[in-house]
Amino acid sequence: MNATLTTGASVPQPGFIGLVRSELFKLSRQRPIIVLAIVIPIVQILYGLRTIIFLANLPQELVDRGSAVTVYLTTRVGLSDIRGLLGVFITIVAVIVVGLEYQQGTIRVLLARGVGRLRLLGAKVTAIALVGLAGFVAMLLIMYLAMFISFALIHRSGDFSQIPAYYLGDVTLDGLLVLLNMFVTLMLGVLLGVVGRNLALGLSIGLPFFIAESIVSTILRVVSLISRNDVWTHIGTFLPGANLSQLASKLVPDHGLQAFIAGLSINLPNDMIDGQHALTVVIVYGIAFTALAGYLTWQRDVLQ
Amino acid sequence: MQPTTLPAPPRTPPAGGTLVVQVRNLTKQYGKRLAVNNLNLDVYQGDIFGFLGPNGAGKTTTIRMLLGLIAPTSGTVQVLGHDITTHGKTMLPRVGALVETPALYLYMTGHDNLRAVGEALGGVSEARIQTVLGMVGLAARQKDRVRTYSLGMKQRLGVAMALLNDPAMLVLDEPANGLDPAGIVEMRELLRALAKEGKTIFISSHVLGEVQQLCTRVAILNLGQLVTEARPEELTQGNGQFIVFVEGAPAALALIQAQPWGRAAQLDANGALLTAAPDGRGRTLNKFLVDGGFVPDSIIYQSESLEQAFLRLTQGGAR
Repeated sequence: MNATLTTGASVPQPGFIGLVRSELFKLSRQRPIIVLAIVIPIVQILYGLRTIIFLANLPQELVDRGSAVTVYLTTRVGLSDIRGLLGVFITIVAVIVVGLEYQQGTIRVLLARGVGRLRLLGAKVTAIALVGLAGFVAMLLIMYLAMFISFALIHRSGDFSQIPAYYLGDVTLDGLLVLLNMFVTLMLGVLLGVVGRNLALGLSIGLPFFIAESIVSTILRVVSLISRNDVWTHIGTFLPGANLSQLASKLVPDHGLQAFIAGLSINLPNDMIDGQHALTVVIVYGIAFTALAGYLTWQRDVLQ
Repeated sequence: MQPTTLPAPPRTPPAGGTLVVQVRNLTKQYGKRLAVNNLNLDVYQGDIFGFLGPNGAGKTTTIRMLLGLIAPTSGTVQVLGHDITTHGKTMLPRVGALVETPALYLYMTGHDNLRAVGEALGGVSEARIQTVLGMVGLAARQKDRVRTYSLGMKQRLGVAMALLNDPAMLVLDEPANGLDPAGIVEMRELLRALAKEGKTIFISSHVLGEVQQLCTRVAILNLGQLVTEARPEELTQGNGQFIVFVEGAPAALALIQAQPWGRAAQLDANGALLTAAPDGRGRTLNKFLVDGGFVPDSIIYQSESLEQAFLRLTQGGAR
């Protein structure tokens, strides 16, 4: 008579924290990520230098009189810079973390050892988000350092006792919107990695995605003009990038920001998108990207 | 095309063997193509189980279903007593696998590859990492990036990865791929030692000589269907014929053909006598010929190599 071997108690089971640590460990060994971790702060420092130069050229009188307000406005501009940089950074990281794993076939090493597919995807998303958060904090530090250099060291003055009461609320909301932007961009990168299962494919779609989207928007506007039908322009208001770029300007009170950056901003206000619309569309995209990435990961055979 | 039910081939399970893998009516269909057709397999504890078949026979598809990487169209796979579909998360950590080419993080060192996988598997000690690196002979190169490894070294690292958390069962797809002759011998010894420890080893391979030397049981797959499952010696035992080199072979043939047991005897193209023996034993045949005045130069039992048996059973590896 033949018995059946039943076993399984003594071997450690793959845990979520271990998976996240493993993903972070792999990220720490990725040269492209290390290069990005150097390049992105350098770009952020360049933005900081721009801030320093801009503020250094402000008349001393204006600085003395309104430095607190200038700090607020400079912070908002800095957060806008961070939003863009973080988006690019997180897209690349997400595509590398997911796409490369499929491309090199290493995904099967873990899946064949009983690591749940959704658990592994969750660990990857968590690891990317942690890297993104670390990047966000580092960028904030660089931004505030640049402002400190401008006000305290160059102007040797500035009355910060009059920081506007709305500073904390507005900057917190703007910061949260940066993180929401990061999450949606992250999930877009993850989805591209899951669908394409290939690094090159993910990057070639992920990086120019928002540029391509703005071209599509322009084409839709032209079609709208030619056909004299606004429906085409309305379609453009449901694209993710159009709404992501409007989130902060529509949801965070202006408090003189548009006047401050007049002529510099590339995120021109879109009158067809209001705050509620932008937030709803962005959240729907975030959920859709997450659900689709999860479904495909769960259901598709791993042939790599 | 729908899966058809085939009669299960004869099996020879070891008496009292403990079942580690049980595959029942396993089928995988891609569109109209049946990659695996109603497969039944039993693998027992301590087996070194050779899984053979021509390219495209369905071996890797079966292995992927065994490991939960792809879902069967129908049928069941039980590993260590539990269905892989419902208990994969608890059972598969006890299975170490190397599927097709070793999947490695090329940008990391050999050591860091094991560390990354070890972290994901719930934590593996540095001592264990060093042990498996030593087992596969990669301790000296552990600090080098995998990108710089030869194919054989990558193969060894893949096996080390499979051994990392001391699994009860190993599934190895072409483990000798890329290894030099000395490496093949080392791998064979390693697998034998692991089997002696009670580990079950499931190997897919094209190196039939290696399989013949190593495996305790063999299954041959062709066109997605199981052709046979047996011990290697059962497949290679031949049909009871002897090859006899003797002076006066035509006269000896006439003598043999006059016997009830020797009517099918014949001469081959080289003039050697092909015949059965009176009671199936070479010594009895020898005595019969000597008593008849024919002293054989040699009597060889005509067995098949596993390769010959494989080609015969798969019609030359037909695809």
